[in-house]
Amino acid sequence: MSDVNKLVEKLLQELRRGTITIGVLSQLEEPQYGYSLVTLLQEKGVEVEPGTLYPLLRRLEKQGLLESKWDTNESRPRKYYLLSTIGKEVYKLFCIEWKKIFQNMEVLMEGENENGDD
Amino acid sequence: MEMIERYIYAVTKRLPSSQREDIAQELRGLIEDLLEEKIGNNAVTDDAIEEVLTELGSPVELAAKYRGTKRYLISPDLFLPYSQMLKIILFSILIAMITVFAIETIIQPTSVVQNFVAFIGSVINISAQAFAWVTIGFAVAEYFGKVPRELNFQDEKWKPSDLPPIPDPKNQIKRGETLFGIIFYILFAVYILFSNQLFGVPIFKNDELITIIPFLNADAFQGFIVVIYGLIVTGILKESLKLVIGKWTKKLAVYNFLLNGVTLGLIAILLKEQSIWNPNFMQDLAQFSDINATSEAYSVIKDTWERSHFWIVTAFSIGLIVDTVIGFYKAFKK
Repeated sequence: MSDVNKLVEKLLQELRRGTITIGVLSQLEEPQYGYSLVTLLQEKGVEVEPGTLYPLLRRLEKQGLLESKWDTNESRPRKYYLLSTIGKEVYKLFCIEWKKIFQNMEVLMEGENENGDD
Repeated sequence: MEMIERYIYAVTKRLPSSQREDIAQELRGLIEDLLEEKIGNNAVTDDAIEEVLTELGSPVELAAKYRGTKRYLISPDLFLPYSQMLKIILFSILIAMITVFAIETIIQPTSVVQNFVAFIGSVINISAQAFAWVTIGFAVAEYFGKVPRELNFQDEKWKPSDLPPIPDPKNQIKRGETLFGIIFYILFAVYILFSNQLFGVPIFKNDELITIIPFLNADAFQGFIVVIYGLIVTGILKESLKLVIGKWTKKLAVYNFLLNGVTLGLIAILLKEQSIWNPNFMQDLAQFSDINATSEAYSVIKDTWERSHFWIVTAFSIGLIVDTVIGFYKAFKK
């Protein structure tokens, strides 16, 4: 059984890697700094390690999807990230595609269930 | 607190210097946030710091995530030809050195221990050099991304018409042939560079090898060392190109032409002056062998020896021209 669990865990990891990007984009209509984003996602049930999120934020910024700004007014300086104009547009289209994939998958899985019931 | 700085240093030193400052500050903020989350407003303890850093994971992995791409001196794409090349070269060096050692031992059996020590020393020294040069060569190829197109589809948009034809056995280059070529150049290099006194006519007396009369002039030879290196590097480069590309293409034929041109030029420099040849060859031959300096045999040999200089240049030139023409013929043949 542990083999099955291991395989599931591995596949899930691959799946999460793809979804984490859309998860991050979805939360950045308002500016967030890295750790506040970790907790925000956690509250909504999405676990992400800071060690994964921080490099991802930088990469998205480099790609032009996010903008960033240092806030040095608080007790410790924090880098805030926010969707850029392109980022907003990309996120909107990405959502549409995501829903399509989701629907397609549902159709596929329901098909499987029907077969299973026979 | 010092541990935090050490962690940040361990991450950022693996990153491009332009990003270090920014990432360091962001990480510092993150670690402080994580600490606050863990212990609230209590005093920061070393244990808490250690716990937080353990959760963040190894700095090597974190830096790798920041970089995104992996960095290679020699990437997996090139590693296979690299390791093959290394094996061939080290193997042929070993063979060459063993041969030199054997010949020296036959000539002077009394100094076998001394020869053996020298043999081990040379093997280590030459192998290390070969290893370094092969690695540098491949690292340069990696850095400039000069992977032959045959091995690399990633650039530009791929089209089915880019697919290479299934190799025709007729214009395919036999691996064995190129490997033999590389081994030959290395044997040549080792003999000529380190033992050119052994490159000559062996003289036997009573079935015993007593000496070798060298063809080359060891003193003049030093002046030509750069040219010799050039010849060897050109030769190995040529064989390596054949090995990597694997079949006769127009591009390879052109490379072959250019490298043969360089080879011919280097040989011309080398043999233009007669000083490379052993000036005492005939005297030595007369002294060590039974051939009398006044006999007819002597004059025949003397004649042959003097003519051979011209014939060697001619043979090299014809050989290189034929090789170039064959290359083009095979590349354009349907």
